[in-house]
Amino acid sequence: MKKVLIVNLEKCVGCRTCELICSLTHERRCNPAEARITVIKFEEKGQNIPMYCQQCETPVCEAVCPAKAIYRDSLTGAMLVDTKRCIGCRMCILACPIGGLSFHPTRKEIIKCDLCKGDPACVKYCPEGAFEVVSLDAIGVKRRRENIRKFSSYLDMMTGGKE
Amino acid sequence: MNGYSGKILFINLSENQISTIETSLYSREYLGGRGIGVKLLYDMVRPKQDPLGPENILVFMTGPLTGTFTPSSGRVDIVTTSPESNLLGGSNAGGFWGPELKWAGYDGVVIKGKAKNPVYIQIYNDEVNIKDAQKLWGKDVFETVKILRQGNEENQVACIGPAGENKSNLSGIAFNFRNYAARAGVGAVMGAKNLKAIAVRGTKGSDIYDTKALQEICLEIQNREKMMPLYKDAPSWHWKLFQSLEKDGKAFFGNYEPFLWEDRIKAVQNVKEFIQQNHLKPESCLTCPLRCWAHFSVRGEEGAPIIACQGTWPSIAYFMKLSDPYYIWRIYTLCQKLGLDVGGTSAVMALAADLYEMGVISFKDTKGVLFELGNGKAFAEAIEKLAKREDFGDILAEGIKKAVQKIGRRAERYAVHSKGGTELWLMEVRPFKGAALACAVTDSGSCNRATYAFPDFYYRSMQKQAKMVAKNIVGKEEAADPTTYDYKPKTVLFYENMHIFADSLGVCAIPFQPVGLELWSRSFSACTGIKLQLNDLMLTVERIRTLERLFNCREGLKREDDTLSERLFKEAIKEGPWKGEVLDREKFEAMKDEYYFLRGWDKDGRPTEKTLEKLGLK
Amino acid sequence: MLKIVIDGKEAEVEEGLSVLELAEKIGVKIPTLCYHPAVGAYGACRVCIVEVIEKGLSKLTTSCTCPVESGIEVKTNSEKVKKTRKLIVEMLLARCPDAKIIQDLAKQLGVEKTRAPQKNENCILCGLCVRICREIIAVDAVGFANRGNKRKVTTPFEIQSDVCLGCGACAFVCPTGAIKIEDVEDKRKIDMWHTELGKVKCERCGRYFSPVPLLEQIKKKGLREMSDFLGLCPDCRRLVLANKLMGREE
Repeated sequence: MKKVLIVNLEKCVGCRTCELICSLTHERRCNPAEARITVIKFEEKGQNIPMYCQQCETPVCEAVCPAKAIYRDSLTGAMLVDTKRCIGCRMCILACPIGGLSFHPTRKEIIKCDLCKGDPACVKYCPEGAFEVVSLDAIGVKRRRENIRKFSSYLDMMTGGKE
Repeated sequence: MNGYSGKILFINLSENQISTIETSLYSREYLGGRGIGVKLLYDMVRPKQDPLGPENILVFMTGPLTGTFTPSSGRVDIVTTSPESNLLGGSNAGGFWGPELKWAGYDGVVIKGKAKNPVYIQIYNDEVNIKDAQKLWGKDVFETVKILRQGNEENQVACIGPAGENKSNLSGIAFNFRNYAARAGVGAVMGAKNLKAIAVRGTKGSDIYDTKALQEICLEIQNREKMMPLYKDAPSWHWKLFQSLEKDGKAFFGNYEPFLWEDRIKAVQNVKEFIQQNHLKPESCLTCPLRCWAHFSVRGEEGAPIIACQGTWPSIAYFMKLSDPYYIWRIYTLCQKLGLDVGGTSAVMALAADLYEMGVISFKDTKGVLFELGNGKAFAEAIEKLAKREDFGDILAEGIKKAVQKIGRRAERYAVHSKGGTELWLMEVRPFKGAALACAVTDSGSCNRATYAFPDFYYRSMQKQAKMVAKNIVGKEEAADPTTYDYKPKTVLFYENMHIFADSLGVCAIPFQPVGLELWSRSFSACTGIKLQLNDLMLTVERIRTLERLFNCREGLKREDDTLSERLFKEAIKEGPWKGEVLDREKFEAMKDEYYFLRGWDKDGRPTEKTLEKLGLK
Repeated sequence: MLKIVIDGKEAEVEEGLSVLELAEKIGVKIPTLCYHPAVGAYGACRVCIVEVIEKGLSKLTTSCTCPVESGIEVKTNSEKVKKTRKLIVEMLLARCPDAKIIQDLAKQLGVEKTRAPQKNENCILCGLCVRICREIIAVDAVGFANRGNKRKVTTPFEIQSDVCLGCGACAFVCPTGAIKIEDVEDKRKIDMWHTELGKVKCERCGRYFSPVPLLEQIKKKGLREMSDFLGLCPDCRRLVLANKLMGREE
């Protein structure tokens, strides 16, 4: 069954452990600039918001990619980039409404959340347990919509259709 | 280089010169953070320089674990010559600035010289620019951070407020809106160099030697930290701390009065209600599970008030005897904005109130400011003047020791401070003999770094645990009894060493002991690939500690300077659980003898030739 | 499924693949310069040549263009292949002595000096940029011009292109890094294509983040309905949405 990554914002304390474990597992180093997730910190307001690819139902990145290098992983439902096919035009980066894709700071490669083959590292290491992998059964779909509704007007594109 | 970034940045503001050196020149012998900081200070600054002069250096040094995946690794250590004490000045801050510096490719920054006009430094990986700060000069900490983050939201900013610009000995260096290296007047050193801020943005990251091992170790560390009582209590710690101080009898009131403050219970209750009525959200520093900080917002007020649990609110409430939580909060925010050390400022205010009441200073001296305990409004006004060095604030800005020297009229009789003039941290030292010793002998630049986490501090509330810890450290349960003079030198030694480790590795002192040295060492090995032998580690710690001592000896420190104010030896406590307690001079000196011996120093507190040779410090 | 022998080992593969694709699939390394999985094979650089033995007859051919047929035997590193590949790289090195990828290949194959007359080019005329721009980006901004030793890749009439999007895919795929893209303030310059393009300014932070025609192209691709965020750079998009999440408009 397809899965998505949901974050419980009330639990986030802004420690950025997710950024570091993401870069550690993917790149074997500690560098938030190489992480597939960014914690937006509003230090004056005391809010911390992890932002990452939402693995949309009808992804714009896939639609604009001229090289057809973005595809859905049959196992996890995550949108992945075939870096061998990628031609580096960066249209995917420009098309994504939430900045879910970015260019690796030193390598010529697109990076984005890939759900860690179905076992996301951030879920395991977040000290507050703010992340959750949710299967897209009836309840999961609802929770996902609730989660995304709050910040994106592109709800339908991301979650696939009306309620 | 694994773990470390490999380079230390040197900036000479007089010559506008920027260069780097290899961290590996120092990392073997001094580990990092505080260790390397002390070594650089010792080597680069000639004896008896003016701390506010261009010859003094200001060192910001991270540790090898800073900015790695290790939990609670957000720390940066500040080392300089303190203008408050004219001895080694040191402070330490958490948050995200230290990690960002590592990720930019630098283990530390060393500032020398003095800029002709106000400047700030912007670091972005390899690009280091000294920029004009005329527009920032005069702005408070919150405004400065906001301006430097415009268009660059992830810029981490270290800056001083008006207090540092005016070279107050009570000023600290702020890191973003929240964290502070508050003690020893480090802000004044930065202000004297005409340096308003250092902003960092780093995208290079840190290399890790063994990522798999690091991940496993970090889960273990996380779990250990979550077993700490602080972890469970963190959201309510901001008023529970008051209660814990009460239970353990750690607090003092006013200017070290012999009596308990009758409104203290009411004050705690008020604070608790105040916090519960408004909104508090726990926050953490980098990769830390503990969330001991909190974002706190009061309805109707703007700004970035963020409160720490480490004794800042109790200092304000207890020293100034403020039971109105609104004023406690206002004064806290004021100190944060102006760039002032909360503990030191509160102590100075309490002293001023005492002097005012005893008639040593008058209405004329204070130019109309009514210093009295409990008068939050007057204190708020006085603090603003202190930051601006206006009127009487100019004298108070010197810190307790130098202020009473300036006032004269035998005002020293009322002052309470530890070695060099450092204001005592929130802790009654008359019953806590170990803490008294630690504050007197420390060369770390601030007594917080010497007295953290002693089992004595929770002897009353958790006696069984305190005894167990004492048994583990010095082999005797009785050592946990705060009022005994026995076993204290060993206790002080142990905790000083732990703190040096934490400050040199770049991790937070709060979870350091509960997690245990072994796990931190394993994390160090996983990050750097360097295996730490326990013997080497202990030698490194001794080396750092003795070098701190050497520096102070060079500045003229003598045995008699390792002391606390006379009042603590003369005036006994008259009320409460520690009634009758006072420091016994003879026994105190005997503790010092033993401590010096344990450190390998002579009767005058100077490192012996043998010790210097053993540590490679000749 | 087709059965072949490659470097002495048997392999089975579905129809429709080239010898190069097959080798990739089973983990046999063949060097390439002008190959890219997203576009059709061209056989321009000749580096990927292999020996193919069919019905007893041996021929040297580029593995990228050679379709897998049942019963063939492929040798990717025989003496014949080695000798010829060395010669190919020797000639490439003569044309582009400063191109690192060619230098590395030469070192790998033991080519030390070149006997051909030296040139100082960076472009090896592999046509990858042309194929990518035509087949994938589909704007056809660059192409081959002239013949023989005057052959080059350029824009029509060697002037500013009026179709170039400024996406930079040509520079990304170029094996020798011959195409240089320079971002200077509010312009993107590609000197090799004599082209300069204006960039879009982020409505929020003011940074220039995308060439104008590239963003227009994305709008055309059906994002018209969702274009309110397109005027923001990706970092600001995150920030604006994060702000929304906190319930405040900026």
